Amino acid sequence: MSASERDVIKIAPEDEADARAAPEPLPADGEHFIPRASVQRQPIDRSGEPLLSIEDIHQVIEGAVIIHDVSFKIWPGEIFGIMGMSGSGKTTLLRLLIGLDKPTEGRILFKGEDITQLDEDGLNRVRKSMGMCFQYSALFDSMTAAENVAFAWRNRKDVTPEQRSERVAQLLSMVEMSGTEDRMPADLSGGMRKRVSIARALMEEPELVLYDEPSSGLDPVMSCNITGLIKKVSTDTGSTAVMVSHDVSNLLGICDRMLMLHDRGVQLIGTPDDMRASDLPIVHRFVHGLGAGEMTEHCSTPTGVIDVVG
Amino acid sequence: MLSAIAVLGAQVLKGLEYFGELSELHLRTLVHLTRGNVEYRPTVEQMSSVGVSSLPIVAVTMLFSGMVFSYHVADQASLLGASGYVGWAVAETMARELGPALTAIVVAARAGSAMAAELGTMKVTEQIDALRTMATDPVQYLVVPRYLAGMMMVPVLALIGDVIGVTGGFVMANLTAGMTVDGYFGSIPGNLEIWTVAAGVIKAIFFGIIIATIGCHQGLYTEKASEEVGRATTRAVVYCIMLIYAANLVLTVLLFP
Repeated sequence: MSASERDVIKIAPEDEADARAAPEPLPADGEHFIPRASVQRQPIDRSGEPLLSIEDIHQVIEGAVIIHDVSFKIWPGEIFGIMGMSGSGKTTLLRLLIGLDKPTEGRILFKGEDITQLDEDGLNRVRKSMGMCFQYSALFDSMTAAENVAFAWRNRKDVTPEQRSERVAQLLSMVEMSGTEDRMPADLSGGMRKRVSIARALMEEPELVLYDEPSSGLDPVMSCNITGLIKKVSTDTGSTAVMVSHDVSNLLGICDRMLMLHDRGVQLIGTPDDMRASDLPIVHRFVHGLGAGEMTEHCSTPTGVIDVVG
Repeated sequence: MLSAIAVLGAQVLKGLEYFGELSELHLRTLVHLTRGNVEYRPTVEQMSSVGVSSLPIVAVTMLFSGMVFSYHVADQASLLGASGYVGWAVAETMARELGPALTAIVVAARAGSAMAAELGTMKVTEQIDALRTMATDPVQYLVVPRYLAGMMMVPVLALIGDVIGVTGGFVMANLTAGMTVDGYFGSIPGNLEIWTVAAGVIKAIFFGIIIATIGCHQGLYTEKASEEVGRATTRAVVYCIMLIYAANLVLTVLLFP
């Protein structure tokens, strides 16, 4: 292919694009900003038994090694962040922690019990102590916000409908979604759906809540708002949070400790300060948002190849 | 030649794997049923979806099928001097074959596809995983209600379809052959056996189970891509129709030896 057939599109730097864009008004749907720094947390006691202990996990899917020899521990009350590039196995790791998938090798101890050896009934027992928020919220389309939140209690005989409604109202209030009980997921914004999914995950008062890309698909303000909410909820309820994200600034802002996944394994585990100070090339580049020089993507079109340079 | 054998072998293995998955899903559903793990609300919703919502299209299908069948029978019967048996002939055919089979095909197209699409969308949007994280078995919450709805509502629809088909047959016989109410319906009570109607109901129960199992299986085993939901929906209808016809042959031989 000759050079004349190749068009080159130069993407404008972000600051130029920002300068042209008019400032967006803050959301007017009740999604108020929760500053991350406003929530004060107690120091984590790591002298006792860890809540979650991951030991030598390997995960191979259809012949491809996704995770290799990953080990770490999480203590009660921690907010633990897992960061890494797209496809680094973050979500795979999160799914292993709640038993949605089983690892090819290794052990996952939740309060000392190896959940990799449990059958589905055993996992269901353990899952009552866990909650999970999915990347795209995964609210049930056919149910209202209140019904989604109350789902885990739908068959409980030991609570009255009034107690259930009270608990739902309390949780929706905690995530600042009071008044949306009767709204369907399709009528909620992305940020509101995330909040309802957080309320749903907290219904059974879990000791461990897993968040898969909680800021995915949200604007920076809403993204910061959701991570602030996660910190607030974790602090208020005393639950442990494991948060998977490639939004480094938000992770650095709220996590007690973090883990960097790269090249199928753990590159570094440490506090946000450890991450900032690390001179490991991939951690340094990731934390400071540095690319490896100019990156070019090739895009095939019917008339030739376009090089998109960013 | 070898490659042809390899392709054939791969298809056989694929077919065996498919029936293995279907059998496992069916077995897990039966285990929940025997343990009484039935969710009331979704079951009622599914009965409404499969039964009430399918009634108009079942009624239209059976009405016109009964009319067409009656038209042919009335014509032939008048030539043979057996016009007094037209009503019975229509009722017998409706109860034995057309009622259960046509109803099942219509329900497969309407409700079986809906099951595959709904569960497939839930799979793609991680709602199935969300169920599991809330300690809820998707088979118990999603498949059992659809299984019960299919098993109970397809026979009811088939019986209603029988009545509509026979009534449609009368309208046609009256219009084309001038048959009276007594002349048409009078031949039914003395000739149509209760077992014939019961056999049709038994067939419809099996067809309902086939529709629910295949529809749910296609949904639950949808690959995580939105275009796969469409493919799963199409496959659900195609596999349902094929299996309904095959099961109809087996059941006919067994029930009417």
